[in-house]
Amino acid sequence: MRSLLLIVLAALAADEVPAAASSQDPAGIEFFEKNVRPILVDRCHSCHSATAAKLKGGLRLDSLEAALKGGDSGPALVPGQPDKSPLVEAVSYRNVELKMPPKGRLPAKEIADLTEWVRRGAPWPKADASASAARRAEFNLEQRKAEHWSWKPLRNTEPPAVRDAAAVRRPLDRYLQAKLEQRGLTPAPTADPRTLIRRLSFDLVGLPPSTSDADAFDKDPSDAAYERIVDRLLASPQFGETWGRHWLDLMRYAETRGHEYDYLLPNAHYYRDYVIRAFNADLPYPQLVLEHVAGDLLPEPRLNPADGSNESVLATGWWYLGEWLHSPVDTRVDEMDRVSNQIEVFGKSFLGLTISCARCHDHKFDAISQKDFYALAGFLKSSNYRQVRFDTIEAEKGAARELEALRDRSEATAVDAALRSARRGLDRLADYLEAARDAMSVCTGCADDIVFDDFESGNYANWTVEGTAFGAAPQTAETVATYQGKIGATGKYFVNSHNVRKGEDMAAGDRHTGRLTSNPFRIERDHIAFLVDGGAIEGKTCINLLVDRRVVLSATGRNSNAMAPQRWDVRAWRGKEARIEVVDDATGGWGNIGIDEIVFTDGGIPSPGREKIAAIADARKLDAARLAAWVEHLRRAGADPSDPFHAFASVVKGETAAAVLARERSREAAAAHALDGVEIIADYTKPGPAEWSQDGVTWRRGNSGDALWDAKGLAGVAPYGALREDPLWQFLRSAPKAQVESSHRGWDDSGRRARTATFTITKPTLHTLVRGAGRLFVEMDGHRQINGPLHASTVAASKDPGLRWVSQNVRYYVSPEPAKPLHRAHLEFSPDSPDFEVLIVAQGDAAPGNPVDRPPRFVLDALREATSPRALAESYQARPSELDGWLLRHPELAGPPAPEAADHAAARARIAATVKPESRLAPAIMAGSASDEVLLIRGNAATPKEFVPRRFLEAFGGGGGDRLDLARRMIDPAVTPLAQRVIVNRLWHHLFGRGLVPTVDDFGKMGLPPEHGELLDFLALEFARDGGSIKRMIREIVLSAAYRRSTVASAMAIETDPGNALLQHRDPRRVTAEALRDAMLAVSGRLDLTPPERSIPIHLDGFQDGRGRPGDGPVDGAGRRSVYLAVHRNFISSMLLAFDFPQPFSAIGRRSVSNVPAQSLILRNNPFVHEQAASWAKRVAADPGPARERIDGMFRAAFARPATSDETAGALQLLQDVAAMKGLDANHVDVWKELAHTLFQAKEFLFIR
Amino acid sequence: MAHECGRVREALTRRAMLAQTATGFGGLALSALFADPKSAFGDQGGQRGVHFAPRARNVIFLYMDGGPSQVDTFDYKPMLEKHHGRNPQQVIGRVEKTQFDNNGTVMRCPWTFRRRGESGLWVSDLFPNIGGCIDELCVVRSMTSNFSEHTAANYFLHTGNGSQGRPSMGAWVSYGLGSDNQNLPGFIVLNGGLIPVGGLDNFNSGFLPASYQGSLFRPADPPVANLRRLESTSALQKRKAEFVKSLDGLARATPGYDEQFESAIRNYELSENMEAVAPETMDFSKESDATKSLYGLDSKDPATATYARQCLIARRMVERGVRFIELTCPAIQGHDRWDQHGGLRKGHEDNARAVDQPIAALIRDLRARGLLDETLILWAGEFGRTPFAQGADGRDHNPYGFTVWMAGGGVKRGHAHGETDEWGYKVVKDKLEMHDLHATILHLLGVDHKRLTLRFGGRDMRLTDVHGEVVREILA
Repeated sequence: MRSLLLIVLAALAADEVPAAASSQDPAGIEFFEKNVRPILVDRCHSCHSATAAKLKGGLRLDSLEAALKGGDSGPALVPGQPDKSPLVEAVSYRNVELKMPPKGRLPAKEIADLTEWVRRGAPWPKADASASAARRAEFNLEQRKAEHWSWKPLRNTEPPAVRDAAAVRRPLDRYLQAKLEQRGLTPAPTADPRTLIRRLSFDLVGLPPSTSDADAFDKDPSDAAYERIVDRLLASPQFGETWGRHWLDLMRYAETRGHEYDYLLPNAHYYRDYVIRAFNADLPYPQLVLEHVAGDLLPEPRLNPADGSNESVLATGWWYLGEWLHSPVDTRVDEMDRVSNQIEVFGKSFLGLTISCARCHDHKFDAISQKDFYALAGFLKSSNYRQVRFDTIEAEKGAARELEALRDRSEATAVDAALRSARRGLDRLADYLEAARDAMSVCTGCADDIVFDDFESGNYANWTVEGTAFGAAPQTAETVATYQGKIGATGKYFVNSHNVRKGEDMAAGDRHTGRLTSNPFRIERDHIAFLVDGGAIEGKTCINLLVDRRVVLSATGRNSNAMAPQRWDVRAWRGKEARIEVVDDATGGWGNIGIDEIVFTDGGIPSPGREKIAAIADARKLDAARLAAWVEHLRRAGADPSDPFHAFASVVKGETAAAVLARERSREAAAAHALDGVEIIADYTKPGPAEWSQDGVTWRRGNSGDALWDAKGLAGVAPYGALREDPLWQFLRSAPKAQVESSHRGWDDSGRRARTATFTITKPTLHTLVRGAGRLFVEMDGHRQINGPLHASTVAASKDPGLRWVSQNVRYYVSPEPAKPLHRAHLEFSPDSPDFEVLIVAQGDAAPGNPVDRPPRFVLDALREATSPRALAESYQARPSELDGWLLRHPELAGPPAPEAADHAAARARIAATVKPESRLAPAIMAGSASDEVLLIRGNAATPKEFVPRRFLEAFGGGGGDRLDLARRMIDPAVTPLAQRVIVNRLWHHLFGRGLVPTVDDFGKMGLPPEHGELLDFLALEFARDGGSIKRMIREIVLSAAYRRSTVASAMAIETDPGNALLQHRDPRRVTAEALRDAMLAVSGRLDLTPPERSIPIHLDGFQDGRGRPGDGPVDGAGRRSVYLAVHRNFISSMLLAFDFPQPFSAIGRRSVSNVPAQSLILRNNPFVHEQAASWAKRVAADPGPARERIDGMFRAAFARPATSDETAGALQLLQDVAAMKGLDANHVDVWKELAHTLFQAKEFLFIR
Repeated sequence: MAHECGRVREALTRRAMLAQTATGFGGLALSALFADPKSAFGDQGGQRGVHFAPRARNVIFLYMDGGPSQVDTFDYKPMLEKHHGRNPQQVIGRVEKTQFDNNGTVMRCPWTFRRRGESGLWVSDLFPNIGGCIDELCVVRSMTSNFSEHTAANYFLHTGNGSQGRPSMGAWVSYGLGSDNQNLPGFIVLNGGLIPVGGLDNFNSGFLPASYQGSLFRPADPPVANLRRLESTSALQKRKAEFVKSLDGLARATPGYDEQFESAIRNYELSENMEAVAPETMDFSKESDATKSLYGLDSKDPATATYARQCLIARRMVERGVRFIELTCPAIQGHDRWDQHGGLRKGHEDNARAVDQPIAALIRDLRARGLLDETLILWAGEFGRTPFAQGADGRDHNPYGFTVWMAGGGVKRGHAHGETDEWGYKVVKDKLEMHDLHATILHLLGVDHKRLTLRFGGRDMRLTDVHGEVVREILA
């Protein structure tokens, strides 16, 4: 908070030009010396002077010059103007963000003196200025770049000559051998074949060699045999599982988001599987990087040869594998935390640079400016998270292109034909309207409403109660949880299934389940109206209407505890017996439902009987069915001002033409001024710039006059432009096993979302004009994990079919100064009904009026001129073309459709049918709208400074463009020497236990320099020339003499190179956590090499507890390799963790290798280890051979070598002793188990030599 | 490490030398050195060990999960009584955004505040027993946090950073100072049943070696994962271990293994010792009945009895040289941690009852045994609560000013430091930031927080990031 203050200071004062030299009059100077300097010295200088141990905020207050120059956030004062001086504001403690000194307010006298001093023009003796001339260390990018090795271009060298050519197997050996010779060292000999094959096997595939392979290589340890083993291992599917896991360490791979609830990161395992496939396929490294950074933007993505799914886009999931808070109080701070982590992983993994160190200031050591950080952050600001339909997205794109071509080819013709045929239905329009009016006028009015239950009886007399959620009686304001807020029910009693009446907490309240089922009743009114609140979990927290014991209608709450009215049209079941059911079948968040005020009602215009309509139709030679349709339509139009027949229907209801005219005129006037006072973010109704994008292909930006198609065919002509989903795509579904966001209301709309551009919030409410049913989501500052009341308003839905403004409260996010945004957002839309459309997005205070539903001009004219209903009816008939769009939506009132439209619709359907409906989903990035990031002074979200254009690091020449351009620059050795150096070094690290640059993730100044710099560049260049083949580079390294050396060091090497930097010999290494577990499975025979469809849940050890605890998994992990165990951030396998499996919080290129008692305890007492020993023993005990041979076989399996005679003797003795202790036969499986278990505990099992 | 190790020193690397030193001559504790980063990575920066004379040897961190209310415990604010029921915006002024966004009216403290002890510090009746020890306490009424959401605030309190993956306070302390007991970890979390929001990462070692992560002990048997043998008899387990050792001995005799292998062998022996020692730590058979009932082991309230066990175990661990012991709160049937968004009265009473007697007993017992002066007790939640209501009878999170207290280990006794405004809402005097608290704790342990660093990702990382000042005013 301390730094914050200075920043705000600066923001306030940055634009002020400091006044000219201040007063030097003696009285002023005296005032300063007597009253002010002591304050500055006592209160400020410990942080704000040249003598400060650590200068805070870059601000010094030890000379006027320094104070006027100011700190990171600008001048500290404006002489003569206390009101504009941040210094005065800070000490006054008026501004909560800006309080100095931070530990407590100054005495009032001191504040007054400082204020007075500034008012007097800040007099200060001139002598001080020169004495303390500000000298801040300047950040010089070019100089830093020139001074550090890793920024320099790759250097091509000739492998040096050596004296002992026999010590060289590959060119790379020359670099090492030359140095050994310089130091007079002789390299260690080649390791024995069994050691070598074990080393190779663990390194390349993370598993011990089979007994037979080890024996064979021992017999024939030729170079040719060695190469064959290498090639076989490189080709094995287990290679990708092992090396892919190294990569996952970098990408901080996890399947949950950590924090309070450890929410699922849905479908993340597809990213893991992608990585494994990519390593197995030896995907060229440049392509791997391209796909990771911008796989969504590749013009020709790589497709999976087996199933045609999009591989490239899967790679981009890594961007979002980090932690994610579910309810941050400051979303902007949270966004920058997430982005900083993304850039940290990006920088370390691909470039070996700690770029995120420059979030708050220029990098302390490397050639990376603070602007560089924000320039890169802009690429993320221009993107957003999605779950991509990676199975079908390419097919969808193809179909969308074909649909577009079809539209160009034949849509206009089809629409013209349809309109011509539809207009034929208006031949006798006036007659129909008049007849309908007559038919309706004979109705005698509506029946009374029936209040079915308002619960004011205080009991459930009308209901059958099941479960505990609803308690014994309805709730009152006193019995519900106070945090539910204002319920807004009627009367005293209401139903609320969040039952905390016994003092339970929120979670317990949600956990209750139950059901209320009403007594049966007969449906005798058109509508059932009621109030509903609670969760929006379909089928789980809902109100159902049961007819014939089947659910025919269902409504849920809106994830709000405030009651909202709901109305069901139940005419379809009139006369039937029905029940209402109130269901709470959900136990998690929003696991509650409430209801009140259930009323059966008619409403609107009463409906005449069929006989009456038939009689009138017969008398006037009209078609009875069509007349009935007209009656029906006018009944609805009476309640729908947007219908062109609203005016006529109003007259039918008995209003005078004059009254209707007055109303329609005021409606028109209101429409004309509807948008006054709001700020338009995007207006899709008119042609013009209004940016948008989508996570699939289903949406279009439509114009007025566009044909609208639905499942049946041509549905209308658009009266205005809008963002619309083509309803053709409604068949798209997620695969049944797709995981959905834990906290996102279970929306399953991947590939069917549209979004606006990113915009700055300047008003307290967002208003979106939509038609139809659909969902709206405000992604505020990139925050998507919506749970918690603070973010509830970012999620909204429109459920009714009509046109309405959906308002969303964003009052916490308003930026007073749009050029320095505090919060930015975009809106996302997904359709719930086929006709959902988005017209206008605006922000303002109050909700705007209706700008599009204006009465048609001709209707106003007709109302003005019409002297009778008949005349009004005729005026409609006179203008059929004005009704075109409407006509097409009402085929029941118009003529039979023309075949051209049906043909066109069929052609559309044929194209759509080429797309498989179901797709798996995976996390991915998508390009949203191009938006730069704002540099934050000192990294503080409250103090934005200026926009920084998106570009690559300045040290590499910057360069704009999109993420794909960025990726291309990263992998081009002509632009950056780092990508190849970093990856080659990583390969070396995994094969030797230490990189040529030991700090594998940091090639900057704080990292360690390369021990063999020329060798590193030689390999990097070779790698680049070879197209970036990881397998071939690994092959090159493992074929070297250096790799094959024994671990036995020469005495001289220990003496002169104790750290073994020269690689005179090999260092033994402990196996990784995964390899240890996998080796036990392999040796025991339990290993199942089939990749599982999904991750295997880990076995929880009883000490793993807390929120988000997943379901328990099998002790043996279903025998699968460790890479397939689920990685839940808060619940990582404790066995793997003990052996240094990394916490997935940042890029980890080098795991720590610890040695802690927990490891030995696991080997001694963990059920998994015992279980594997037992399973191994089962096979050994079943072997009929002599015990000696079986013991030998066990040593071969565990250590890839035969048992020595001492070992065999010891083992036999152990078997005997154990048998005696257990009172069992020496060949009993339980006896062998104990021997097997000791071999797992032997340290040799843990180490690779 | 400039110990004289004779010719061994010539031939072995730094790691092996450290190992020799520790077993043979003391120095850094055992658990600390096994995990030393490999010597090839050069100097990891920073200085481990004490930098000056320590005031405390051990820390007991009584973590008050969920955020107790300062205005209902130690920070007496009569203005709340006076303005009870009024709109906070009208009487308090600017109200910050809260997690639940459901702010009600100004709410008085439902309990009576009294001056207690010779110091006359205010304590509410929520803590009758702790109130009885008030003269041992150094109450800090001006604590702040940067986060008003549990997870980030918990990480911040525990690790000095609001995100996952950083080393916990206890990890830093045991990394810096090692443990005085070679058979127990240096950082132990006694889990009463409530894992803090944010999970085990609150106790993690982050980028420090894994050996410094908090070992989770239950106040039950077995206290630690994988501690209990699965063999039917200990003789059998012993016989097997003998064979394992003989195999290791044979392997050690073949050339080509280095000191890592040696360390693993010793680690195996250490784990054997731990299997014996850890259960003994939890064994109360030698404790007197008076001690047991002082702590409340016989309490009818199961939460009190659980916390009593934790506190007594904590004392026994201090006696055995465990460096840093954190206690999580006991689970209370049917109620939440100190996180009363509603039902403040019942929730706070339940939580207070669970910890009040055991904590007071811990203070008295340590004092009686002469251990309090070298043991720093820290009582803290991740934030405080709002002086105005959430809904009708709850309080929302408040990071702008809340109370923590310390006792023993070199802090002033019967002392209060800092002030919040007259509402108990925001700090107005002697503000403490989280890094200041951490710096002060390290200082009391004889550690300069700026010198205890580890290089990671191109930076010298510390518990206090780039902040933190020792609060000298509270040092005794």
